Amino acid sequence: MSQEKIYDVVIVGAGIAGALAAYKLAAAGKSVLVIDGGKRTPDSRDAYMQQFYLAMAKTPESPYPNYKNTPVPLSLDIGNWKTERALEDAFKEGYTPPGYLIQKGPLPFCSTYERVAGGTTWHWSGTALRLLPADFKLQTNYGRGIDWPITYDDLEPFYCEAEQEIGVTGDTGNQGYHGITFGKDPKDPSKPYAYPMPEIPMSYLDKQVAQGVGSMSFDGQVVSVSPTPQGRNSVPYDERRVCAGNTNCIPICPIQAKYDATIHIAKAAQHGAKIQYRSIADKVLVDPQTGLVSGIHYVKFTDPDLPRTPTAPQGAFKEGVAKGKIYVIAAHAIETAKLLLNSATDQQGLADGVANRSDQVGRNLMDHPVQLSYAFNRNPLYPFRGPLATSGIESLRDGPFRQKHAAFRVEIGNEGWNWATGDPYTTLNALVSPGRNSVSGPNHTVQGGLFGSDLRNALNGFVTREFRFGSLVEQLPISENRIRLSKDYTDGLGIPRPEITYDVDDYTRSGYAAARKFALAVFQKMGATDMTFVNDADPTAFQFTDPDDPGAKPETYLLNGAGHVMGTCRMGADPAASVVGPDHRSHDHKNLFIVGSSVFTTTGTANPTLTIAALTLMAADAIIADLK
Amino acid sequence: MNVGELLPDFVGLSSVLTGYDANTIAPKVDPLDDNTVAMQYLRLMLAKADNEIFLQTLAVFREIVADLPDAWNWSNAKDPLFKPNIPADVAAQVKAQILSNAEMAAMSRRMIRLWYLATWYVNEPPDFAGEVVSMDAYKEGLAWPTIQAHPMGYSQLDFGYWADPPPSAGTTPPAPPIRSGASAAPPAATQGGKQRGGI
Repeated sequence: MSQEKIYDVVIVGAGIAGALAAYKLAAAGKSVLVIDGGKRTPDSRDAYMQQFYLAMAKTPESPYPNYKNTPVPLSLDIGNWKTERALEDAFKEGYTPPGYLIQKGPLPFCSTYERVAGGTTWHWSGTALRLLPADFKLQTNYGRGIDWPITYDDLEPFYCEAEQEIGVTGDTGNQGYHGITFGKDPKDPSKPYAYPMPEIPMSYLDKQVAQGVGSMSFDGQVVSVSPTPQGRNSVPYDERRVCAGNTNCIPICPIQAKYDATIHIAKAAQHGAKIQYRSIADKVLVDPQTGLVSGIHYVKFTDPDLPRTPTAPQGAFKEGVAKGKIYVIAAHAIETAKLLLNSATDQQGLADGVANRSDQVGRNLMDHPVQLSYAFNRNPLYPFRGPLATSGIESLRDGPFRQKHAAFRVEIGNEGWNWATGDPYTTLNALVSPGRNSVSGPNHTVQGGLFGSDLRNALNGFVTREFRFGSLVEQLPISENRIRLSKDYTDGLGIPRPEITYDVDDYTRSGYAAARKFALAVFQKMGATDMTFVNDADPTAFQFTDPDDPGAKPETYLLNGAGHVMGTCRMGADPAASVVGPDHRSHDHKNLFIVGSSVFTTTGTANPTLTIAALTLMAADAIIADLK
Repeated sequence: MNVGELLPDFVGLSSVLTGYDANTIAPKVDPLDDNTVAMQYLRLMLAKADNEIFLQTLAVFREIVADLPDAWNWSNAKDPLFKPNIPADVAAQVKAQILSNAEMAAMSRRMIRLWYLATWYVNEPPDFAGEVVSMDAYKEGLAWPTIQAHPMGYSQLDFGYWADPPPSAGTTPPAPPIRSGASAAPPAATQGGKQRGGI
């Protein structure tokens, strides 16, 4: 117990929420300590790039470390989730599941995250959409889910602030759909608000799709393709260079043209914030007299890959308690819930964890399940050029249909079938191997045994015509979609691993079915050939039968994660049904704030990073006001 | 054995198999560079492939090109995309004398996968097991220029280039027939693919 300094604010986690909070608080003159499990951010990203280049499976996690003391979920684990559970049942003692998340089903949770300084913004797509006004009032408008305790108008100024901090490209003229409004220019209130950077051009592929969509309607909505606001530079901004279109935003931008939270870690440090790396917070301590948080207990380690066993060298681990006037948990939705649950004691009111009198901590885990549909266009679209996505279809993010099924947004991919089938690798290998070989189940097989010009022409002919839609489908808060502490398995530090139960309800399944129907309608209008293959035996498969069609048969869909881990500490006005109030303050402990996607009341359909940033900047104001 | 002595035959056969000019896949930029991607692949084949069959394959190729004028072996000009300068009769002889033999054909397929994907697969045909040869090799993988793109994560182009078709768009060959049918084999090995996830 070395440390006696009492900071104004102690923050757990150096992802985008922790980094932005640290920056804004430090810039306001507050003394700030950030605790993060990762190592110091490398001066250059070359080491990460090398690991990416040499990785066989270029998953979102492939460039980043996965240490025994800070393990992460891996995309490659998801396909094995049923096998892991079967082995666990068969062997019980002595079997340690290799996947970090203990997936209890009935469906696997398919999203992953990083535990390095900068967090998962290392591999966010850069898509910087605002939530819609209607997303905050889902219950009022459509009788679904619950309302947020704040409105779009409450958050709007902080969206502007977040867009400046991240550096977002866009044209307000293209983004004012579904009631989105923009305030005044924060620097000159006589002018209307403008995004800090000009719009990123739509890809050639986007423009061809937009032309193909033409004028059409779906579910009563007029459909159009629009350029996406993005957290990557279209002009030099914040001392970073412009995007060179590496088509690699996920897993890693090679040139940091895309924003990541290491930028605000550095800025926070410039303003005097202290960043303490290689330290995992494992308990939030509460003063039994006052009910206030009294410290954050952490374990610091010298080697992140050296487990804390009885034989580990002395001095390799050090425990400590970080003290502050105010505490902020910003550890990402799963790790934040894990920390609060792991802080349970026999103290009054803490039997189920800290900040958990409502019993909502860990519940309402949400994602944007992604429906992938992919096709061949008649003419070449030249994918694998530009950022991973530059446009989308936002038309179905809201409408009266939300009474019946989930909303969705369509991301138009610039990477062909890379996500869907692993191209260009899969097609190349299929064209080379002898015989007739599958690229997408029985839907698309190719004649193999090619070489020379025949091979070149065939690979080009197929892959240049590929495109895909990824529809991000809204998910409602469900109490039993939740994180618990595993009773059986721990990480290298002896901290329980997260155990997940997860399912997708009929509202979202029905939205999934609508997204699939929509993709097919667009493909047909474009004259493109759908090649989507669904294997009923896939470990992510689920079924849905359209209840409005008496003759309908169950259709199978495949679950994909968006990497958008939300819920687990939801925001609400009612202390009995939520974890934090509208100012991000714990209902139970008034010097404890929780920030990040864990507080999302509902998901809407916007990629969450911009909203995380806006909410965090709003919470920072509440903290600054508290400290006055 | 002097590895360098095998290089002309290795590059020549690679050229026929990949459909790219020898000068494109193995440009003689720096005569002292002993670690070009071509040399990396050649050393890897000698280290990991069945040497008897590999050397036999190169020997058969040497016979095929023995009577050709020197001009072709290391062609000097970079030809436009999709018009490689490979004599049709050489390709025909490679097909007849090398690809008709199961073992030499498998060896040839390994070479194609190396050049296109910079990947050494443990098994042929491949599954998931394997390794990316090197960072340089990844960046020079032929799959990328073939689809008129750049390696994912390695663009040397300028901001906004994606708004237009690639400059080589005019050379894009016509669409291949898309045919659905029963698959003779399970899906080929994938990298990334379904595992990628996350937007």
